[in-house]
This record gives sequence, structure tokens and C-alpha cells, in this order.
Amino acid sequence: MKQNVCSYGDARDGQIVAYLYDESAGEERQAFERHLTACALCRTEVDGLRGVRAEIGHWVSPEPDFVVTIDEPSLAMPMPVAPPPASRHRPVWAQALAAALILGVGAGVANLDISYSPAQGLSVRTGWRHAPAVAQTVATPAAAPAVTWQSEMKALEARLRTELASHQVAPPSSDEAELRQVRAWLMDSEQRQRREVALRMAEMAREVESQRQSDLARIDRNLGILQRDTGMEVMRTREQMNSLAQRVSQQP
Amino acid sequence: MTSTDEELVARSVGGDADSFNQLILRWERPIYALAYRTIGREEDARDICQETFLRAYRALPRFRGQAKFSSWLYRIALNLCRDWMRRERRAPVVQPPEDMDLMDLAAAAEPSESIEDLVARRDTLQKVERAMAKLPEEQRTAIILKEYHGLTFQEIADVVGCPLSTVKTRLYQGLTVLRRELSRSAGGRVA
Repeated sequence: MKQNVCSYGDARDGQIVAYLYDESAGEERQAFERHLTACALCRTEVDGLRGVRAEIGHWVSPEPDFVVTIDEPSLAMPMPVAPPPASRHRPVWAQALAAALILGVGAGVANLDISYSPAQGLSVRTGWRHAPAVAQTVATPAAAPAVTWQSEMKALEARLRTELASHQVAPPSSDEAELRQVRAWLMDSEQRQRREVALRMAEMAREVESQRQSDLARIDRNLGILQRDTGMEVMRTREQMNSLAQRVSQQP
Repeated sequence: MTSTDEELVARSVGGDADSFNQLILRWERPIYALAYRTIGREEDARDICQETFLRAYRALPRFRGQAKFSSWLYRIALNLCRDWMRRERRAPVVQPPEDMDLMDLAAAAEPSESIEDLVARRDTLQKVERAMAKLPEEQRTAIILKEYHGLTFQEIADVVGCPLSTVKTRLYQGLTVLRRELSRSAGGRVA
């Protein structure tokens, strides 16, 4: 009759595990072995857990397909920390200062010129190279004489050209020279791009080829295994057929 | 002659990067396997493995050698796995290894293994993975360290920081749960 209660006591679970993994001391182990011969419940449990151990032994971990590398220079750097959301802790005055700075630099770069005269009203002009037409006139109380306006514009244009010429290190001697220069830059850039594309294409071709080679090797290996297995199956079937034929022939 | 872990650690602390590389070569597979079995994702296990060695390298001067180097590494890796699970707020994922299809199993098969054997092996593998994923974290860790890494009860107690009797209890309970789960999925094949 199957025993339903074990008399081993509180240490039973620990003893079973220690016995299973062969980690109990000699005397303890002997005592538990004696108990096992008498206790069907513990015997069944030990056998069951042995079966579990055998089964979980099949759980293989994939092979790592990488190599751990310790990048020494990176050790000197602190661990990357996610940056806090921008502007959350930035005071308002700092934001205002930054905005003013950006506006100031922008105005400087654009050569912003704001002027007011009773004849022309408020005018805003930007740009360096060309004499600007009036960019924006906010209010013009009266139409100015065309001659005065044109002469002022010409004077301004002449002044700007002089200033620009003085800032240029090597000004192009003429429009043709400038054009040649631009063409040379374009050709240079185009050649550089072509070289980069060619390099990239060669790299890609190399990658594709190496991938193709490894795929072929893998397919070849797997086909070999399948072929071997199929061959074995055929042999097995043939043996079974032979044995069946023999048995049939032996029957009266 | 092969150097012991302790000798390599001592040389690494003295600035010999090659000794630490030898430690990596020796332990990267077990650490990766531990991370993979604990969290069940290849990609993240790879990151945890990399991070374990990086942290170990940084903390090497503070390693006093009270525990074995491997136990110390296991502890770092398990802490990282725990952080990952907390961050992802999830239990280990039952994810069959990315490349574990029949063709790959066939490639790694014993010469005597037939297609039927391979299919049966793959099914068993999936059942074990599912059953392991159902274990509570402490029980799963104890079983992984014992079954696949061969640590003694005392070493497991040191790695996870609990009494020896607790380790035995976790192992017993874990194996009992696995027995139930596996016999349920196999229709009572496990006794």
C-alpha cells in the first residue's frame, strides 16, 4: 500500500534537495537513504525530482555571438545619464538674456539697419551685398522726391561695396573669375561625392559577398545533415522491410 | 600553466589589461548564459553581460577576495538582471532563441539524432523554458545557479545573500513547481 505520510520531520525538504544534489554529509546521507528504503512517499518524490532535473538539463543557452570588450578610454568617462528636460530648471532671466543675445547676433549677421526720417518714415533694411530696396516701410507721411532717394541709394551701395571689398582677403578680379572659382568648387565636391559613393558600393559588395558565402556554407552543412538523416531513415526502413519479409517467409 | 582567477585578478588590479581579458574569455559564456536564462532575451542578455564586465573592471580595486571571483561576477550580473526586470516591469520572457529553428538544431545535433529526435528536443526545450518562466524570481535564480552553473548551496547563499536553509527551500519549491508544470504540459510524462 502506498504511504501517504512521511515521518521524517521538518528537515525533509532540505534533505531531499541535499540528497538530490549530493550535498549531504556522509552520516546524514546514510540516514536519509535508510529512510528512503522505508518511505514510498519520499522515494516517489526523489524519483520525480530526478526526472525534472534530467528534463531541465535540456535547456541550452544560445552561444554568445559577440565578444565582450572593455573600452579603456570609456572607463574614464562617467556613465551616460539621460539629460533633464530642457528649460525646466532654467530661470526666466537667463532665457530672456539668451533670446536677446540671439536677436542681437542675428541682427548683426543680417546687417539690420533701422532708420527713421520724416521724409521716408520708419524703414528696416537687411543684407550686405545688394543695395536693398526699402524692405519694409511702416509709415510714409509724404512721397519723397525720386532723385534724392536714388542718389542716397547709390551712395549707400558704393559705401557697402567699398566696405565689402576691404573685408575680402582675395576678391575675385571679375565675374568670370568668380564663376570659374564656383565651377572648380562644384567639380571638386562632385568628385568627392563620387569617390565616397564608389567606396560605399565596394564596401556593400564585400558585405553581401561575405554574407552569401556564410549562407552557402550553412545551407551546405544543413543539407549534409539532412542527407545523412534521410539516408539513415532509408536504411532503417529497408531493415524493417527485410525483417518483415523474413518473418512472412518463415510463416507456414 | 593556467593562472587561477585570483592570480589574474591580482595582475589586473596591477594594471595588466591582458589578465582581465583572460578573465573575460573564461567567464563571458557563463555570465551570458546566466543573464539569458534569467531574463530570457538574447539582446538584453548581451548588454547585461557587457555591463557586468565593465562594472567588474571598475570595481576591481575594491574586490577584496572574500568570495570567489566568479561568485562576485554572478552577483553583479544578477543585480543587473534584477534592475532590468524592475525597469521593464516584467517577468522573464519566454522567447525561443532567435536562431533556434530545426535547421540549427540539426546542425548542432549528434550524428545519431534523427529528425524526430530533433523535433522532440525542440519541444522539450520550449516546455522547459515555459515552465522556468513561471517560477518566482528567487526560485528560478537558485535553480539556474545550481543546475547550470554548479554552485554549491553555500555559494548560492553567498551570491544571492540569504541563509543556506533558504537556498534549499527555494530549490525544493522550485523543483516541485517545475515538476507540476512539466508533467502538466507533457500529459503526466514526468513522474
